[in-house]
Amino acid sequence: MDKDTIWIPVGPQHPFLKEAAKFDFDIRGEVIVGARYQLGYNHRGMEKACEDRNYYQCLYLLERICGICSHSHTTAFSMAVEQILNLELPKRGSYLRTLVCELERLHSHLLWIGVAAHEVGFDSLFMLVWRDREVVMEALESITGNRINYAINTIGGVRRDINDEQRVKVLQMVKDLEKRMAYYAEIGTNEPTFVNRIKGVGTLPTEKAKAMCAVGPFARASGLDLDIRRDDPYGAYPDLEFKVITNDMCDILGRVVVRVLELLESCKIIRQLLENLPEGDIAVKKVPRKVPAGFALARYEAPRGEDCHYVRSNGTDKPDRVKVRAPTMANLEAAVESVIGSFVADIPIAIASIDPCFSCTDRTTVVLNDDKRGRKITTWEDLRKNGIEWYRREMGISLS
Amino acid sequence: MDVIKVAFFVLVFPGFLFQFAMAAILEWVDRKLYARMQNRVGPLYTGPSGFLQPVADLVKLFSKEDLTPAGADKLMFNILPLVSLAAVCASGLLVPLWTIRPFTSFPGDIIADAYLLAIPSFALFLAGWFSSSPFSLIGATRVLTQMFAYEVPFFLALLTPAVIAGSWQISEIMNFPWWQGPWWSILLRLVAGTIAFGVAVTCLQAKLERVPFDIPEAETEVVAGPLTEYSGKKYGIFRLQKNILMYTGAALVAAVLLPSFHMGPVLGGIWLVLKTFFVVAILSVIRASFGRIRIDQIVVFSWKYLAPLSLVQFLVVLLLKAQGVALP
Amino acid sequence: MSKLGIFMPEMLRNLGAKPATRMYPFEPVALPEGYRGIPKFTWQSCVGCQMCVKDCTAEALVIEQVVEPAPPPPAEGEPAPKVQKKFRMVLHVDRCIHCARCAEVCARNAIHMDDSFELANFTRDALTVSEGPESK
Repeated sequence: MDKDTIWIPVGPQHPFLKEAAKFDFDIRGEVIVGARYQLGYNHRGMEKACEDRNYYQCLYLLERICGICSHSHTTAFSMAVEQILNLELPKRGSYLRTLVCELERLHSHLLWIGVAAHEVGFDSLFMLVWRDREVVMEALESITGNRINYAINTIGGVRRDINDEQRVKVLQMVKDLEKRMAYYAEIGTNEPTFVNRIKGVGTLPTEKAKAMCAVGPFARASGLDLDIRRDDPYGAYPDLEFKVITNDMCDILGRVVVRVLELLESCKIIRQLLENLPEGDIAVKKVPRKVPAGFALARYEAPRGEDCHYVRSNGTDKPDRVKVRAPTMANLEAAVESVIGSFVADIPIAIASIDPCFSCTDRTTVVLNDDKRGRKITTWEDLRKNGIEWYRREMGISLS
Repeated sequence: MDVIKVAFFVLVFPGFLFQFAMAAILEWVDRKLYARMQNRVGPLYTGPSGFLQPVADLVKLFSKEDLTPAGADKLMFNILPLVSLAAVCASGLLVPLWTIRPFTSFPGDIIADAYLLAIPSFALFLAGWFSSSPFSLIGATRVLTQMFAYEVPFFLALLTPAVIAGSWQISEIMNFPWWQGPWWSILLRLVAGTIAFGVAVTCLQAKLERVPFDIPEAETEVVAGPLTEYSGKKYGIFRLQKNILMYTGAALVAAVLLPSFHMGPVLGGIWLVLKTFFVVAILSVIRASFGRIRIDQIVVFSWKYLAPLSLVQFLVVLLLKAQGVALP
Repeated sequence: MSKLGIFMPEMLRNLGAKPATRMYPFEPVALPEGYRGIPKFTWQSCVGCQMCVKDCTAEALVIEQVVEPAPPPPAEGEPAPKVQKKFRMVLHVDRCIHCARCAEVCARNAIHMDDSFELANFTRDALTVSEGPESK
């Protein structure tokens, strides 16, 4: 590193980060020339803790992986277990589960818009959007009993029903919110001090987004047409009509536009769900406590992207292995890459544009080559070489 | 007797205590307006309607632990808050407050006042430079770059009424009977004064490092900019200096660029204080309506819009004055 | 640049509007009817099956059997009186995550959630509450 380049550590504690994560930037003047990141500060051992708890305890434990997308994790987990058990959810339970999914998407995107405005210093937009987010939180509280960590899922359906009064209130809330959001969309994308900070910043071209496996609104703003709700439908989505919002702008303004339009789309979905709510049970009546051996992978479109839960069971009432892959894990590499070449002032908004949730992400361990302690990484080439060697040695077959 | 009189003027009114009180009141006004515009309540519990909140903040900061980082230059780190506070209080003494002739007044004091107002920015730059932290380094360079952006239009805007009045003394500028003379002369003064007022208020916002020009202290990017390593008493003094700078800058802009009439000394002082409140209200509205722009965007904005505007109107006033137009 | 200051009308309009801040704790807050507070125990209905303890994610519940002195032996020829086992619940409020799983899984409806949320306290001991008859 020459003497013009200085290294600034952003994190693990920094006012722009909502959770701890470490980024290292090499800057020359105001231009970023190198970036690295390191995670692991939020690792709580959730996957290991799941192996000691029965499926219902795991449900409430996994809910607390993240506060903003808590329903995503419980729904994905329930879907995986229901796949192993081969349960078919009653229609009403499915609709109610999807209703909370979409309400969570509403509050998460509103939160993100406020946070993005705060990262560029536009505190007025932050306060106003969060004031409007409060009505969504109240709607969620009246339906589920809590503003975050709704605990409305159970294996086989939902735990609570909604009555007519709540239904009417939520419909009214959605109508008021749509008007407000259209107003913000118009103003927020036209105010020069806001737009000039996000236009052309954090650019991620389409091929790079595809190569780095970006998911969610981050990928949809770079032109990739991916949405689990349409590609691999679950819950009530097969019955619903909605558009998948994509964009070609490839920068942060594109991501803002995608999220705002997704908000309006979610309002439409909620309206469809509440107007066509079928009658019936809300959950499967008798769910066995001991799950037969098997495994399942459930994918879910969280507000941030594709959330995958893999559950393997072994016949007891405790899961054998639970693996969670959060969407931020897929997006973070691309986000850090998109920041190189822009200014120091663009760091917070570029990293915040993927809607990072490091609490969701930290499920991985970092393995390093450590000869002293005998730890080694095996690469793909090593594996291939080992395989060829083994066949040559054991069976006399030459495969090279 | 003279010594006591001077000590009273310097320490009590319009000196340090008065400036401290005005700074606290103006900060409260600013915070309340900013909060109300965002549909919140702002300070509420300390004193009636949160009136004592700025004082409470200062007391809290003064009671916190005061750390000096190991790699920082001890002398500069400790002395810079006091230097900037002293400069700002000295410039406050030149504001014509309770009488059209302030406690000290001399020809050229508008230049001296504007110059003293530039010292706090340099002190901020040096504070960031001498703290041994990369964040404060970035913040310090941004302070200096921002100075290149706003100093020139600020001076030009402040000196326009000086040219119109034909004097470099603030009290003479305030005494100038702008309502006398032919109608096109009054019109010219009003038009030039309005443009200058707009430019001066924008540059004052940049000098105070508030949104949209608060990139040196951008909380989400460089933690606290030049003041990252400051804590406790020294940080409290810097915040006090920023508030007194807001009072002094607003009072200066209000004194020369907003209309003043020939009232007596007491009424004149009250009128100036009211004009200062008006300027601070405008600063709050600006703070609430915009987002932060980047340092390169600040420089571009200033040299593309502010400087040409102020330059053109200054030149026009100068030329017409040379032709004998703007004279009464 | 033409749309600069597009937020200003909204800001100036808000100056005359009532602030959106809720003045809790000076004004009481209205809770929805399904609010999940802490579990409340009806000891008369409990049979000690321990399902709530088994399903509690946070290990916040303990169901203990109440120890009572043995009743006097019956008179000659009379059948022994039926002794019903009584149970007491010890709840660690600081561990409870308010998921209401205990209330859901209890087959005798002995647990229901109340609506208390002002649960903070100064000592840890005050956050261990027990409901039900005391052991003698």
